[in-house]
Amino acid sequence: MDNFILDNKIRETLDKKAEEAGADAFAAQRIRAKVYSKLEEAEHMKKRNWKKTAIVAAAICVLGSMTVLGLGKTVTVTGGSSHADIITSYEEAEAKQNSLDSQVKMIEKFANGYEFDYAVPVHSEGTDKDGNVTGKETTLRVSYVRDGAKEISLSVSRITMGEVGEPDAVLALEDGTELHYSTLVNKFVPVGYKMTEEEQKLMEEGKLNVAEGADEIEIMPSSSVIWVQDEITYHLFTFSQDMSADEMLAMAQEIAESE
Amino acid sequence: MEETELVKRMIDGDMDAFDRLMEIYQPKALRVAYLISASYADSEDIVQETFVACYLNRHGLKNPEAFKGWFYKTLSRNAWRVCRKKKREQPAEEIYPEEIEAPGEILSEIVMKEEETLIYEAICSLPVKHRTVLVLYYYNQMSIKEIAKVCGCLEGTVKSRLHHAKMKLKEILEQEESKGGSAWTILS
Repeated sequence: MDNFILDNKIRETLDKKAEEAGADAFAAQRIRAKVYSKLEEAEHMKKRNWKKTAIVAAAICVLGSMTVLGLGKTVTVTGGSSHADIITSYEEAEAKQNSLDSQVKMIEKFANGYEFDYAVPVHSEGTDKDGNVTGKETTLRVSYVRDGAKEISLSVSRITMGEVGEPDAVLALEDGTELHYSTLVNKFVPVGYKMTEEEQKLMEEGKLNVAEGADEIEIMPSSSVIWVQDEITYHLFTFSQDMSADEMLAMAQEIAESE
Repeated sequence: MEETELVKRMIDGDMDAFDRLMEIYQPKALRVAYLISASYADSEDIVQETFVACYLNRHGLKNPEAFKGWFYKTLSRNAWRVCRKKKREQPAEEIYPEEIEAPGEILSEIVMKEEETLIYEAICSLPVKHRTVLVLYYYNQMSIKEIAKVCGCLEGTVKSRLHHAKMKLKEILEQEESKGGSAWTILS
Protein backbone atom coordinates (compact mmCIF):
# COMPACT_ATOMS: atom_id res chain seq x y z
CA MET A 1 0.00 0.00 0.00
CA ASP A 2 1.28 3.41 -0.97
CA ASN A 3 2.21 5.62 1.97
CA PHE A 4 1.52 8.76 0.00
CA ILE A 5 -2.03 7.63 -0.74
CA LEU A 6 -2.55 6.63 2.88
CA ASP A 7 -1.28 10.05 4.04
CA ASN A 8 -3.71 11.79 1.72
CA LYS A 9 -6.61 9.63 2.77
CA ILE A 10 -5.94 10.28 6.48
CA ARG A 11 -5.73 14.02 5.81
CA GLU A 12 -8.94 14.07 3.74
CA THR A 13 -10.83 11.99 6.29
CA LEU A 14 -9.81 14.21 9.20
CA ASP A 15 -10.58 17.38 7.23
CA LYS A 16 -14.03 16.12 6.37
CA LYS A 17 -14.78 14.82 9.87
CA ALA A 18 -13.56 18.08 11.42
CA GLU A 19 -16.10 20.02 9.38
CA GLU A 20 -18.86 18.41 11.46
CA ALA A 21 -17.65 20.33 14.48
CA GLY A 22 -17.79 23.62 12.57
CA ALA A 23 -21.40 23.34 11.52
CA ASP A 24 -22.89 24.86 14.68
CA ALA A 25 -22.99 28.60 14.21
CA PHE A 26 -23.74 29.18 17.88
CA ALA A 27 -20.81 27.17 19.24
CA ALA A 28 -18.46 30.17 19.36
CA GLN A 29 -21.00 32.22 21.32
CA ARG A 30 -21.70 29.36 23.71
CA ILE A 31 -18.01 28.69 24.36
CA ARG A 32 -17.25 32.38 24.86
CA ALA A 33 -20.11 32.81 27.35
CA LYS A 34 -18.99 29.75 29.34
CA VAL A 35 -15.35 30.85 29.36
CA TYR A 36 -16.28 34.22 30.84
CA SER A 37 -18.63 32.63 33.34
CA LYS A 38 -15.88 30.23 34.45
CA LEU A 39 -13.36 33.04 34.75
CA GLU A 40 -15.78 34.96 36.96
CA GLU A 41 -16.33 31.82 39.03
CA ALA A 42 -12.55 31.37 39.34
CA GLU A 43 -12.17 34.94 40.58
CA HIS A 44 -14.93 34.30 43.12
CA MET A 45 -13.28 31.03 44.13
CA LYS A 46 -9.96 32.80 44.59
CA LYS A 47 -11.61 35.20 47.05
CA ARG A 48 -13.34 32.36 48.84
CA ASN A 49 -10.09 30.40 49.02
CA TRP A 50 -8.42 33.31 50.73
CA LYS A 51 -11.30 33.45 53.20
CA LYS A 52 -11.11 29.72 53.80
CA THR A 53 -7.40 29.98 54.51
CA ALA A 54 -8.12 32.76 56.97
CA ILE A 55 -10.71 30.60 58.70
CA VAL A 56 -8.37 27.64 59.02
CA ALA A 57 -5.73 29.94 60.46
CA ALA A 58 -8.33 31.35 62.83
CA ALA A 59 -9.40 27.92 63.97
CA ILE A 60 -5.79 27.09 64.69
CA CYS A 61 -5.12 30.35 66.52
CA VAL A 62 -8.21 31.01 68.56
CA LEU A 63 -9.22 27.58 69.73
CA GLY A 64 -6.97 27.22 72.72
CA SER A 65 -3.26 26.78 73.31
CA MET A 66 -1.16 25.29 70.53
CA THR A 67 2.15 23.50 70.54
CA VAL A 68 4.05 23.63 67.31
CA LEU A 69 6.24 20.62 66.71
CA GLY A 70 7.59 21.15 70.21
CA LEU A 71 9.36 24.33 69.15
CA GLY A 72 7.29 26.90 70.94
CA LYS A 73 3.95 28.61 70.92
CA THR A 74 2.42 29.64 67.63
CA VAL A 75 0.58 32.93 67.70
CA THR A 76 0.12 33.52 63.99
CA VAL A 77 -0.58 31.19 61.14
CA THR A 78 -0.45 32.47 57.60
CA GLY A 79 -1.42 30.47 54.59
CA GLY A 80 -1.84 30.73 50.87
CA SER A 81 -2.94 28.74 47.86
CA SER A 82 -2.90 29.27 44.13
CA HIS A 83 -5.81 28.80 41.78
CA ALA A 84 -3.39 27.42 39.22
CA ASP A 85 -2.77 24.43 41.52
CA ILE A 86 -6.41 23.38 41.76
CA ILE A 87 -6.98 19.66 41.23
CA THR A 88 -10.39 18.66 39.92
CA SER A 89 -10.01 14.88 39.70
CA TYR A 90 -10.37 12.81 42.87
CA GLU A 91 -7.73 10.31 41.71
CA GLU A 92 -5.20 13.09 41.24
CA ALA A 93 -6.17 14.63 44.59
CA GLU A 94 -5.69 11.26 46.28
CA ALA A 95 -2.25 10.89 44.67
CA LYS A 96 -1.32 14.41 45.77
CA GLN A 97 -2.53 13.70 49.30
CA ASN A 98 -0.41 10.56 49.43
CA SER A 99 2.64 12.46 48.25
CA LEU A 100 2.11 15.16 50.92
CA ASP A 101 1.11 12.98 53.86
CA SER A 102 -0.12 9.45 53.34
CA GLN A 103 -1.60 9.27 56.84
CA VAL A 104 -4.21 11.93 56.15
CA LYS A 105 -7.71 10.57 55.65
CA MET A 106 -9.97 11.78 52.87
CA ILE A 107 -13.06 10.40 51.19
CA GLU A 108 -14.70 10.94 47.82
CA LYS A 109 -18.39 10.90 48.81
CA PHE A 110 -20.47 11.35 51.94
CA ALA A 111 -23.69 9.50 52.77
CA ASN A 112 -25.66 12.78 52.70
CA GLY A 113 -24.83 13.37 49.03
CA TYR A 114 -21.78 15.63 49.31
CA GLU A 115 -19.17 14.74 46.69
CA PHE A 116 -15.58 15.72 45.93
CA ASP A 117 -15.43 18.96 43.93
CA TYR A 118 -11.79 20.06 43.93
CA ALA A 119 -8.64 20.14 46.04
CA VAL A 120 -5.93 22.75 46.39
CA PRO A 121 -2.53 22.60 48.12
CA VAL A 122 -2.22 25.19 50.89
CA HIS A 123 1.13 26.39 52.15
CA SER A 124 1.07 27.42 55.82
CA GLU A 125 3.59 28.91 58.18
CA GLY A 126 3.29 29.36 61.93
CA THR A 127 5.20 32.08 63.76
CA ASP A 128 5.63 32.89 67.45
CA LYS A 129 5.20 36.33 69.08
CA ASP A 130 8.74 37.33 68.07
CA GLY A 131 8.10 36.44 64.46
CA ASN A 132 10.17 33.25 64.54
CA VAL A 133 8.91 30.58 62.21
CA THR A 134 7.71 27.69 64.36
CA GLY A 135 6.48 25.37 61.64
CA LYS A 136 5.89 25.15 57.91
CA GLU A 137 3.79 22.73 55.94
CA THR A 138 1.94 22.10 52.72
CA THR A 139 -1.38 20.33 53.07
CA LEU A 140 -4.30 19.64 50.80
CA ARG A 141 -7.61 21.40 51.32
CA VAL A 142 -10.46 19.39 49.81
CA SER A 143 -13.82 20.89 48.88
CA TYR A 144 -17.07 18.99 48.57
CA VAL A 145 -20.40 20.13 47.12
CA ARG A 146 -23.97 18.90 47.05
CA ASP A 147 -26.28 19.84 44.16
CA GLY A 148 -23.43 21.88 42.72
CA ALA A 149 -23.50 24.36 45.61
CA LYS A 150 -23.30 24.64 49.41
CA GLU A 151 -19.62 23.94 49.67
CA ILE A 152 -17.94 22.28 52.64
CA SER A 153 -14.16 22.02 52.98
CA LEU A 154 -11.74 19.74 54.78
CA SER A 155 -8.36 21.05 55.89
CA VAL A 156 -5.63 19.30 57.82
CA SER A 157 -2.58 20.43 59.74
CA ARG A 158 0.30 18.88 61.59
CA ILE A 159 1.60 22.25 62.76
CA THR A 160 -0.96 22.52 65.52
CA MET A 161 -2.27 20.18 68.14
CA GLY A 162 -4.80 22.58 69.51
CA GLU A 163 -7.12 21.95 72.40
CA VAL A 164 -10.51 23.12 71.25
CA GLY A 165 -11.99 25.77 73.56
CA GLU A 166 -15.66 25.54 74.38
CA PRO A 167 -17.36 23.65 71.55
CA ASP A 168 -21.11 23.93 70.97
CA ALA A 169 -21.43 20.14 70.57
CA VAL A 170 -19.19 17.10 71.00
CA LEU A 171 -19.40 13.62 69.48
CA ALA A 172 -17.18 10.91 70.97
CA LEU A 173 -16.24 8.04 68.65
CA GLU A 174 -15.61 4.44 69.70
CA ASP A 175 -11.83 4.83 69.39
CA GLY A 176 -11.91 7.76 71.82
CA THR A 177 -11.62 10.51 69.17
CA GLU A 178 -13.72 13.55 70.07
CA LEU A 179 -15.30 15.58 67.29
CA HIS A 180 -15.85 19.20 68.37
CA TYR A 181 -18.48 21.30 66.62
CA SER A 182 -18.44 25.09 66.95
CA THR A 183 -19.53 28.21 65.13
CA LEU A 184 -17.51 31.32 64.48
CA VAL A 185 -18.21 34.80 63.16
CA ASN A 186 -15.60 35.85 60.61
CA LYS A 187 -14.97 39.48 59.89
CA PHE A 188 -12.81 40.08 56.80
CA VAL A 189 -11.34 43.56 56.97
CA PRO A 190 -8.92 45.75 54.98
CA VAL A 191 -5.29 45.94 56.12
CA GLY A 192 -4.86 48.44 58.99
CA TYR A 193 -8.33 47.87 60.49
CA LYS A 194 -8.56 48.84 64.19
CA MET A 195 -10.50 46.38 66.29
CA THR A 196 -12.98 47.60 68.91
CA GLU A 197 -12.69 46.46 72.54
CA GLU A 198 -15.73 44.26 72.14
CA GLU A 199 -14.25 42.61 69.08
CA GLN A 200 -11.05 41.95 70.97
CA LYS A 201 -13.02 40.36 73.78
CA LEU A 202 -14.94 38.13 71.36
CA MET A 203 -11.69 37.11 69.69
CA GLU A 204 -10.23 36.10 73.03
CA GLU A 205 -13.34 34.01 73.69
CA GLY A 206 -12.89 32.28 70.34
CA LYS A 207 -16.17 33.54 68.95
CA LEU A 208 -14.82 36.03 66.43
CA ASN A 209 -12.14 35.81 63.79
CA VAL A 210 -10.86 39.07 62.30
CA ALA A 211 -8.84 38.49 59.13
CA GLU A 212 -6.97 41.25 57.31
CA GLY A 213 -6.61 41.48 53.55
CA ALA A 214 -10.14 42.10 52.20
CA ASP A 215 -11.06 45.02 49.90
CA GLU A 216 -13.98 45.92 52.14
CA ILE A 217 -15.47 44.76 55.44
CA GLU A 218 -17.48 41.56 55.11
CA ILE A 219 -18.97 39.40 57.86
CA MET A 220 -19.47 35.69 57.22
CA PRO A 221 -20.40 33.13 59.88
CA SER A 222 -18.91 29.65 59.58
CA SER A 223 -19.42 26.27 61.26
CA SER A 224 -16.60 23.84 61.96
CA VAL A 225 -15.90 20.38 63.26
CA ILE A 226 -12.36 19.89 64.55
CA TRP A 227 -10.74 16.70 65.73
CA VAL A 228 -7.28 15.21 66.12
CA GLN A 229 -6.22 11.76 64.92
CA ASP A 230 -2.64 10.47 64.68
CA GLU A 231 -1.34 13.95 65.52
CA ILE A 232 -3.16 15.40 62.54
CA THR A 233 -5.71 18.14 63.18
CA TYR A 234 -8.73 17.83 60.88
CA HIS A 235 -10.92 20.83 60.26
CA LEU A 236 -14.22 20.43 58.40
CA PHE A 237 -15.91 23.77 57.81
CA THR A 238 -18.56 25.57 55.80
CA PHE A 239 -19.90 29.06 55.25
CA SER A 240 -23.33 27.56 54.58
CA GLN A 241 -25.87 28.31 57.28
CA ASP A 242 -28.17 25.44 56.26
CA MET A 243 -26.16 22.67 57.84
CA SER A 244 -26.99 21.42 61.32
CA ALA A 245 -24.43 20.42 63.93
CA ASP A 246 -25.63 16.80 63.67
CA GLU A 247 -25.15 16.68 59.89
CA MET A 248 -21.65 18.14 60.10
CA LEU A 249 -20.68 15.83 62.93
CA ALA A 250 -21.96 12.85 60.91
CA MET A 251 -19.78 13.91 57.96
CA ALA A 252 -16.75 14.32 60.20
CA GLN A 253 -17.44 10.87 61.66
CA GLU A 254 -17.40 9.36 58.16
CA ILE A 255 -13.94 10.79 57.57
CA ALA A 256 -12.64 9.89 61.02
CA GLU A 257 -13.84 6.30 60.69
CA SER A 258 -12.66 5.82 57.10
CA GLU A 259 -9.64 3.60 56.42
CA MET B 1 -2.59 43.33 15.47
CA GLU B 2 0.00 40.57 15.44
CA GLU B 3 -0.69 37.43 17.45
CA THR B 4 2.43 37.88 19.61
CA GLU B 5 1.28 41.37 20.55
CA LEU B 6 -2.15 40.03 21.45
CA VAL B 7 -0.54 37.35 23.62
CA LYS B 8 1.63 39.93 25.40
CA ARG B 9 -1.44 42.03 26.10
CA MET B 10 -3.35 38.99 27.34
CA ILE B 11 -0.51 38.18 29.74
CA ASP B 12 -0.91 41.73 31.09
CA GLY B 13 -4.57 40.96 31.72
CA ASP B 14 -6.09 42.68 28.67
CA MET B 15 -9.44 40.94 28.18
CA ASP B 16 -9.95 42.42 24.70
CA ALA B 17 -6.75 40.77 23.56
CA PHE B 18 -7.84 37.51 25.17
CA ASP B 19 -11.19 37.81 23.42
CA ARG B 20 -9.48 38.31 20.06
CA LEU B 21 -7.25 35.27 20.66
CA MET B 22 -10.37 33.24 21.42
CA GLU B 23 -11.87 34.35 18.13
CA ILE B 24 -8.73 33.34 16.25
CA TYR B 25 -8.15 30.00 17.96
CA GLN B 26 -11.65 28.74 18.74
CA PRO B 27 -12.73 27.34 15.33
CA LYS B 28 -9.63 25.20 14.82
CA ALA B 29 -9.38 24.28 18.50
CA LEU B 30 -12.95 22.96 18.49
CA ARG B 31 -12.22 20.77 15.49
CA VAL B 32 -8.97 19.45 16.96
CA ALA B 33 -10.72 18.69 20.27
CA TYR B 34 -13.50 16.95 18.35
CA LEU B 35 -11.06 14.79 16.42
CA ILE B 36 -9.11 13.82 19.54
CA SER B 37 -12.09 13.19 21.82
CA ALA B 38 -14.43 11.91 19.08
CA SER B 39 -17.27 13.57 20.97
CA TYR B 40 -18.89 16.85 20.03
CA ALA B 41 -20.26 17.46 23.53
CA ASP B 42 -16.82 16.89 25.06
CA SER B 43 -15.03 19.01 22.47
CA GLU B 44 -16.89 22.15 23.55
CA ASP B 45 -15.97 21.48 27.19
CA ILE B 46 -12.34 20.81 26.27
CA VAL B 47 -12.06 24.10 24.39
CA GLN B 48 -13.74 26.07 27.20
CA GLU B 49 -11.46 24.55 29.80
CA THR B 50 -8.45 25.27 27.60
CA PHE B 51 -9.26 28.97 27.21
CA VAL B 52 -9.99 29.29 30.93
CA ALA B 53 -6.70 27.58 31.82
CA CYS B 54 -4.80 29.76 29.32
CA TYR B 55 -6.07 32.94 30.90
CA LEU B 56 -5.63 31.82 34.50
CA ASN B 57 -2.13 30.47 33.88
CA ARG B 58 -1.07 33.21 31.44
CA HIS B 59 1.81 34.34 33.66
CA GLY B 60 3.38 30.91 33.19
CA LEU B 61 3.88 31.61 29.47
CA LYS B 62 7.36 33.11 29.38
CA ASN B 63 7.69 33.35 25.60
CA PRO B 64 4.62 34.92 23.91
CA GLU B 65 5.80 33.62 20.54
CA ALA B 66 5.33 30.07 21.80
CA PHE B 67 1.61 30.62 22.45
CA LYS B 68 0.34 28.22 19.79
CA GLY B 69 2.31 25.26 21.16
CA TRP B 70 1.43 26.19 24.74
CA PHE B 71 -2.25 26.45 23.81
CA TYR B 72 -2.37 23.05 22.09
CA LYS B 73 -0.42 21.48 24.93
CA THR B 74 -3.14 22.63 27.34
CA LEU B 75 -5.85 21.49 24.95
CA SER B 76 -4.27 18.04 24.54
CA ARG B 77 -4.00 17.56 28.30
CA ASN B 78 -7.66 18.52 28.72
CA ALA B 79 -8.67 16.15 25.94
CA TRP B 80 -6.63 13.30 27.45
CA ARG B 81 -8.18 13.93 30.85
CA VAL B 82 -11.69 13.81 29.35
CA CYS B 83 -10.87 10.62 27.42
CA ARG B 84 -9.40 8.99 30.54
CA LYS B 85 -12.48 9.88 32.53
CA LYS B 86 -14.78 8.60 29.82
CA LYS B 87 -12.84 5.35 29.55
CA ARG B 88 -13.22 4.81 33.29
CA GLU B 89 -16.93 5.51 33.20
CA GLN B 90 -17.87 3.59 30.07
CA PRO B 91 -17.05 0.21 28.61
CA ALA B 92 -14.71 0.68 25.63
CA GLU B 93 -17.23 -0.50 23.08
CA GLU B 94 -19.64 2.24 24.12
CA ILE B 95 -17.22 5.12 23.70
CA TYR B 96 -17.52 5.31 19.94
CA PRO B 97 -19.64 6.28 18.25
CA GLU B 98 -20.60 9.06 20.62
CA GLU B 99 -24.07 9.49 22.02
CA ILE B 100 -24.50 13.11 20.91
CA GLU B 101 -24.18 13.79 17.24
CA ALA B 102 -22.14 16.70 16.01
CA PRO B 103 -24.28 19.29 14.25
CA GLY B 104 -22.99 18.36 10.83
CA GLU B 105 -22.87 14.64 11.37
CA ILE B 106 -26.07 13.63 9.60
CA LEU B 107 -25.10 15.47 6.45
CA SER B 108 -21.54 14.29 6.71
CA GLU B 109 -22.57 10.67 7.01
CA ILE B 110 -24.16 11.01 3.62
CA VAL B 111 -21.20 12.70 1.96
CA MET B 112 -18.45 10.78 3.72
CA LYS B 113 -17.31 7.90 1.63
CA GLU B 114 -17.44 4.42 3.00
CA GLU B 115 -13.66 4.21 3.01
CA GLU B 116 -13.37 7.47 4.97
CA THR B 117 -15.80 6.17 7.56
CA LEU B 118 -13.63 3.11 7.86
CA ILE B 119 -10.47 5.20 8.22
CA TYR B 120 -12.14 7.38 10.83
CA GLU B 121 -13.29 4.37 12.85
CA ALA B 122 -9.75 3.02 12.70
CA ILE B 123 -8.39 6.38 13.93
CA CYS B 124 -10.87 6.30 16.81
CA SER B 125 -9.65 2.86 17.81
CA LEU B 126 -6.10 4.16 18.34
CA PRO B 127 -4.86 5.05 21.85
CA VAL B 128 -5.62 8.71 22.55
CA LYS B 129 -1.97 9.83 22.51
CA HIS B 130 -1.39 8.23 19.11
CA ARG B 131 -4.63 9.80 17.86
CA THR B 132 -3.46 13.19 19.14
CA VAL B 133 -0.20 12.94 17.21
CA LEU B 134 -2.11 11.95 14.08
CA VAL B 135 -4.58 14.85 14.41
CA LEU B 136 -1.88 17.43 15.12
CA TYR B 137 0.24 16.20 12.23
CA TYR B 138 -2.36 15.63 9.52
CA TYR B 139 -5.12 18.02 10.48
CA ASN B 140 -3.34 20.78 12.37
CA GLN B 141 -0.30 20.56 10.10
CA MET B 142 2.19 20.87 12.91
CA SER B 143 5.78 19.75 12.55
CA ILE B 144 7.24 16.76 14.41
CA LYS B 145 9.20 19.21 16.56
CA GLU B 146 6.08 21.22 17.46
CA ILE B 147 4.11 18.06 18.24
CA ALA B 148 6.91 16.81 20.49
CA LYS B 149 6.64 20.02 22.52
CA VAL B 150 2.83 19.79 22.67
CA CYS B 151 2.89 16.16 23.76
CA GLY B 152 5.84 16.61 26.08
CA CYS B 153 7.85 13.80 24.48
CA LEU B 154 10.88 13.29 22.26
CA GLU B 155 10.68 13.83 18.51
CA GLY B 156 11.51 10.16 18.12
CA THR B 157 8.45 9.24 20.16
CA VAL B 158 6.25 11.38 17.89
CA LYS B 159 7.70 9.66 14.82
CA SER B 160 7.17 6.28 16.40
CA ARG B 161 3.58 7.10 17.35
CA LEU B 162 2.89 8.33 13.82
CA HIS B 163 4.43 5.21 12.36
CA HIS B 164 2.51 2.96 14.72
CA ALA B 165 -0.75 4.78 13.98
CA LYS B 166 -0.24 4.48 10.25
CA MET B 167 0.69 0.81 10.46
CA LYS B 168 -2.40 0.15 12.52
CA LEU B 169 -4.60 1.97 9.99
CA LYS B 170 -2.94 0.14 7.13
CA GLU B 171 -3.50 -3.19 8.85
CA ILE B 172 -7.18 -2.49 9.49
CA LEU B 173 -7.77 -1.29 5.95
CA GLU B 174 -5.93 -4.23 4.41
CA GLN B 175 -7.99 -6.61 6.52
CA GLU B 176 -11.09 -4.92 5.16
CA GLU B 177 -9.75 -5.22 1.66
CA SER B 178 -9.03 -8.90 2.08
CA LYS B 179 -12.63 -9.39 3.22
CA GLY B 180 -13.61 -8.11 -0.19
CA GLY B 181 -14.63 -4.64 0.91
CA SER B 182 -14.88 -2.30 -2.01
CA ALA B 183 -13.92 0.77 -0.01
CA TRP B 184 -10.17 0.29 0.14
CA THR B 185 -9.51 -1.26 -3.22
CA ILE B 186 -8.83 2.10 -4.82
CA LEU B 187 -5.92 2.65 -2.49
CA SER B 188 -3.96 -0.44 -3.28
